[in-house]
Amino acid sequence: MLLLPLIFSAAGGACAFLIPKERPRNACVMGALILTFLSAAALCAADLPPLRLLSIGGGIELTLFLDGVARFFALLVSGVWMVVGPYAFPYIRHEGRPRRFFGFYMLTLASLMGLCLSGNAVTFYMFYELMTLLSIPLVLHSGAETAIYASLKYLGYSVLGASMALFGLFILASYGGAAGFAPGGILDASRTAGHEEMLVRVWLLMSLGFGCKAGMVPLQAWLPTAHPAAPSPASAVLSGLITKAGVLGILRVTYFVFGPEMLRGTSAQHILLGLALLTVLTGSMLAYKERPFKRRLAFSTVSQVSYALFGLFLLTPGGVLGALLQVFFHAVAKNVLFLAAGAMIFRTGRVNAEDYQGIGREMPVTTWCFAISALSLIGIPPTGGYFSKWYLATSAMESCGALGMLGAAILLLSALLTAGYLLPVVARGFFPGRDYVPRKQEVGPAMCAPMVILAAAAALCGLISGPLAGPVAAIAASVF
Amino acid sequence: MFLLSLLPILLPVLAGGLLMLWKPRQRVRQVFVMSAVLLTSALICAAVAETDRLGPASTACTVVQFGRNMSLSLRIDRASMVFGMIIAVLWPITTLYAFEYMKHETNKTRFFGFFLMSYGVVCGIAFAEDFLTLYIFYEMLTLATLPLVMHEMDQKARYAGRKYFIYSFSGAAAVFILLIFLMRYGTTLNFVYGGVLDMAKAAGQESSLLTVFLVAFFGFGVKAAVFPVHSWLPDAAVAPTPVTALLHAVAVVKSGAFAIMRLIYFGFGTDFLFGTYAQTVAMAAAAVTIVFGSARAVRAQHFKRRLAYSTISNLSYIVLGFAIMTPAGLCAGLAHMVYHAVLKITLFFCAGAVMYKTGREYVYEMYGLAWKMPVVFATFTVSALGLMGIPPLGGFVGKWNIAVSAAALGTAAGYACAAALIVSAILTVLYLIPVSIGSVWRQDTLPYDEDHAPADPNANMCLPLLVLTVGGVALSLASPWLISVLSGVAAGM
Amino acid sequence: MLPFYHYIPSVCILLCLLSAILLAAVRNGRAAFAAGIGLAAVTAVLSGVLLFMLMPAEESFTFVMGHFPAPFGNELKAGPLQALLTMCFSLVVGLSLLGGWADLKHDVQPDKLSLYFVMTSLTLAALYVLTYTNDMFTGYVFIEISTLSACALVMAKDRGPTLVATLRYLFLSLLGSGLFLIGVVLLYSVTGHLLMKQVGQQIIVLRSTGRFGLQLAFIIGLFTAGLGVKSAMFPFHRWLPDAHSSTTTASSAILSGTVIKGTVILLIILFCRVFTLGMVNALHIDDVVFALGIMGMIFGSISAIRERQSKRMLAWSSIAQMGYIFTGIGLGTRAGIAAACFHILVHATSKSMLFCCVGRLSAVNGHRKMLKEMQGTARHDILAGIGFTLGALSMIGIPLLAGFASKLYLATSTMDSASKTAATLFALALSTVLNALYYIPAIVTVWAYPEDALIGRAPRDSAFTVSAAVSIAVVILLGVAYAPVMHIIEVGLSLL
Repeated sequence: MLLLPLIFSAAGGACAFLIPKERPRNACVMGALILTFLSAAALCAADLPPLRLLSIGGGIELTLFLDGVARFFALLVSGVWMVVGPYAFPYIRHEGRPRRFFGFYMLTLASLMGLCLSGNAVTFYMFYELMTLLSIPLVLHSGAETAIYASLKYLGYSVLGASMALFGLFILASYGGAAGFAPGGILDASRTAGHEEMLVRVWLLMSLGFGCKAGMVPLQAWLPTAHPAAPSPASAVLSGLITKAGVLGILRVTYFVFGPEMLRGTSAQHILLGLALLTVLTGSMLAYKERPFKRRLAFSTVSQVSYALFGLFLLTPGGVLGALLQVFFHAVAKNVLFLAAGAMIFRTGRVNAEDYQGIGREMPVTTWCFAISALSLIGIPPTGGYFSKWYLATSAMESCGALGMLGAAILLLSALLTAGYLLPVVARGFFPGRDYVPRKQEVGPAMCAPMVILAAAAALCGLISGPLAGPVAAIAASVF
Repeated sequence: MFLLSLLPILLPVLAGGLLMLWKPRQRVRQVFVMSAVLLTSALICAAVAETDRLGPASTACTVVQFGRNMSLSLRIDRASMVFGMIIAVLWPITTLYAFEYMKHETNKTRFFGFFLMSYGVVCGIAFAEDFLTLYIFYEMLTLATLPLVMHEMDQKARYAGRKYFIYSFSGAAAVFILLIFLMRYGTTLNFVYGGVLDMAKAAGQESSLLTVFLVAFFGFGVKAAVFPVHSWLPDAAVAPTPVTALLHAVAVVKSGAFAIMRLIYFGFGTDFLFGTYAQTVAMAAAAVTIVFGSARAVRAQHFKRRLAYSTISNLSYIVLGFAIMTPAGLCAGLAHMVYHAVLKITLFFCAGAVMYKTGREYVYEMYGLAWKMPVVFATFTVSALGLMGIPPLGGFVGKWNIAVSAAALGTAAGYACAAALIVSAILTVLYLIPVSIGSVWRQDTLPYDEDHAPADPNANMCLPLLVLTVGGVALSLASPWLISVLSGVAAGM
Repeated sequence: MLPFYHYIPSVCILLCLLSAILLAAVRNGRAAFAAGIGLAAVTAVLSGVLLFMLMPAEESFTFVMGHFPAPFGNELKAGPLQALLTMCFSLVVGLSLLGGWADLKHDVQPDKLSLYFVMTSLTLAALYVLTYTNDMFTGYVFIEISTLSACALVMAKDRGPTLVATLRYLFLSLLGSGLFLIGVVLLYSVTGHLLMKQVGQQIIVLRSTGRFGLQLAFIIGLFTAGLGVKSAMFPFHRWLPDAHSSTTTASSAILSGTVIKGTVILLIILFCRVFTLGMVNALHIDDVVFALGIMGMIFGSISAIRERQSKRMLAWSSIAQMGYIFTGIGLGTRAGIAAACFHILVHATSKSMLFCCVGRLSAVNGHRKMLKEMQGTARHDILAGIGFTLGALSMIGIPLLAGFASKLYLATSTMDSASKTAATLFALALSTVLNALYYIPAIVTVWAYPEDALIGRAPRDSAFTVSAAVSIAVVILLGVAYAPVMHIIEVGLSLL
């Protein structure tokens, strides 16, 4: 039962590779996406015991299990993946080689499902590596030199990050760290006694490793290269969801392997908080400077995901709540931004952010979706992003004293910068100035609908935050 | 029992000699060689099964008694079984591949003659009961494989052969010193789990014994391609692919690693060596080799040389596992020995298939070939994933166990070795994945004529590739069983 | 009446001398050949019988020549070791003659052929005497006889280089025997005796007075140098490569295999019987011999690597192998000397086999001796190729062949002499590799496919076939069943 999301998405991937004709293939893929989402939703309702997939010699078991965090991430990932699907069909038809794209699109989803449902650190590592390998073809899709270079950079950094995490695992194995995930940590207290200092350093290393995928300094340089090089639907899910795999990794390792008690107040925590804040700030600053649109959005991802990481490193329930909300809203909003950017580039061929004069007239739906999501990303109430950032800021100030204050300040500054790099596009789009000739060239409904759905989600979940905040708060509390 | 241990060694050696004298034509030769190989494999399996059945009642077999306590004797213990089964399975597959590969080569009789003889000699190394027998077969291995390395007889082959025998004989000369010291300070030359040192005689001589251990470690390490005595291996990549694949990725280098295992666990014993500076040196040498091999592999553009450096690196995973000197380390090293053998032989076969069909030897000539040679590159990718250590495939099992047992030592050296493994894992991805990526996503722009048109080779080559890949995956899935068997070995059975 | 086997040594010697005289009258080369082989065979058998009789009881005996008892007459001392060594020498001489017969017919002028066998008989006689003698002056006489006969053996193939080599050999040998003679004279003047037993007893007396230390050291030094010249001890080896390589196959084999050994055996006997090992140790003569042995081991091989002509390569290898023997002696212990003796056996059999095979292989290609001209010749005479391969591997020290056993014994015997262990082991290791460096390429060359067409198959040589087959069997036997042989040597040494 726990395997269903994986099975559906993998089957969808197989279909995508095998079926040559477009219509049946797209139907299969869409069907697989829907089934995956539904099965993930079903899992949210159900309460299933952990599933042992395979035993590996040396006492390792690959298992899947279900807890609040797993449900949250599984639902989010499969949901957004499903919504982006219809956008991708016409886009990739235009780009070419659809079988390859959708095959790996679905297989990446399968690996992400496995990641969300992983029951212990080794299983997590396995799906993490698989996810990297399966998403590389997405970056490589265009086959251009730049894409190949970008994918190799992606590969290099990802493997480096994953290997740092694996190294930590090697050490943790002797302390029981590979046994599973449990809130409050799974390490065997009798064995860890006396080794706390070393273990905290291991935590630092593993966080840096997983943080690579989430775009945290110092391993973030691949992200602005790789995300723009991929086709837009792929950039969307890369930025929106695959980066969250890194966040999930840090979440699992910090709260379910080590346990916050061991880590709170250590210098490692301070270092990581500092790095997260640094990423937040520099990401925004660099995004502000970038002219190519997709690169600007990629830097934005770097910055925004580190909001969530900041929340996680605070090691308080409030911080986790803020982080999870940020994950949700950023996933939704960033997907829209990339999809919209993709639509704009697709239609107009213009690549730089200043060139979108009057795009509001030409592509109104797209630009409105873009605008709403931009507001959410900046954190303007009542859009969703406001809530996540509010929780983050308040938790920071509550818990961490001076660093917390600094954190809140930086969050605010970053919000300003975010406005600075997103709003002008919107402004120029709607108010192009006098000498301008509009041509209506909106994209088709297949591409519009996903953007609308996600933008609406960003807005509505902000307005009616209760149904979302409640369960997420429960999940956040369950982590401790 | 006597016959069962002796025949797998004697039969291929005699068959090889007979082949070289008789010089039959191609068809007859192929049948003869394959029958000899299959028969030997069957004999090895029978010997292993029989020993397993007899349990503690199985006996040693003395072939030649030289003196009072010096003899050439064979005894199959669990470690022998592991090594024996590896070669019993891999040799016939390689023979099939070699038939196809050697089609365009000359001097096939000589090739297959020494190929057969090497089989017997490696089996002798696996079944040896004591250090003298091991030494004898070790020397024979160099002699039997030298003509195979030099097969092409051109400038590069002669140079490679010369380097090979200089290194090998130097290594063997170092091992000879070990023999002398064991005769003096050991209770017996036989392999006894836990070591054979006579503590009464050895007391006070620890430092010279540790020196002798290191000398022997690097002596055996020549064949196991430990830095700094590794440099014969990349040059030996000029040999025909079946030779590099089987012998230099499996038989010869694994013999070196196997011998190191015998040295540590059955010669000096971990009680004597654990925690000494000699252990640190051994671990350090292994760690350096691990990183060095991977780093050179990334830089190497010649496909087989890249794989040769990869072998150097991976062999030292095994050596590191042994150098950790705990039962967990021994088990881990043996596990990686099994998995690496299967994976590396597949990778070399893929490289060989490309060379055989298209004549292309360099990595940058592989662009776009995956579409024209799908079987080859698909098996390459799967095996590469295995070697990179993607769970749950075999390479991960070995690496995980080695790294965890290194880290479990708790010392700085242990952590450094685990870190070396990580660095190597990263580099492994960097030297394997770009080949796969390039073969699919880049275009093949090289001109070629009819004889060298890229296409999948025929069944003689594809079948081994597929069997090995599928077998490798199956073996990975069966890793709990394998680990439990190897833990038994490590416990001293 | 003495038991019959007591007469064997003297009978052998007399047989050799007699056949030398008789063969001078024989005209027919073939008949002389048969007689030469017959002599070797008979003496080998007789020595074997002697060994067989002596071993079980582990006895040695002194045989008085003539009717004058000690200390006036001449004596022979026979024990298992001497019997073994002489048996080996006879065997080697016989096999060398068989193996080199074809080349003899090719190299030596037909009317001089029978004279050749006179010389081999004399050589054999000299070897026997040097092994069995118990008298210093007799030793000197037969050293001279051996020099002259050896020179004749070298000269048998009278070409230009051979003559030069012979002259050089002659001069250096005479220098050596001159030194030996001076030593004998000095020893006589100090001790007043020539029979070894008496000399030995006198020396013990002299030692106890504590006054003759310097003289004795000097005398031992003279003996060592004199005999060392004749046995190609470093640095007196320069004559050997020319002498052994420029001559005909049978001569090379006999010279390398036996002649240079005879004087070493005499040196061993002097060290053990006359001066005693303890004294040699105390005077540090053994250290000097050890150092020179090691240097010979290394430099011999290094020079062999540079050689491009096959027989010169083998000759330099002989120098290196003699280095092994001197290293063994230089260890100054019973075990070391036993190892040296074993290596004498090993080298005698292996090197003679090597020379015979090289001779045969070069005969396949018009008697050209350069290594690259011998490429592929093994394919025309497989037995010669196998013999060459096995002989070469034995010299390198591959297990299951003779050379490995002597390496093993040499190495284990150093474990007792703490100061020399490291140097010996290291030198052995280095030497193995160096040996491999020139033997392995040679093996590869003879088995590789020839680049140019060879002159062609040489006619079948059944004498060589027999010789090669027996030699191969002996080398393998010595490699496998070395323990009993070593036992004989050890027993024999204690009875020396």
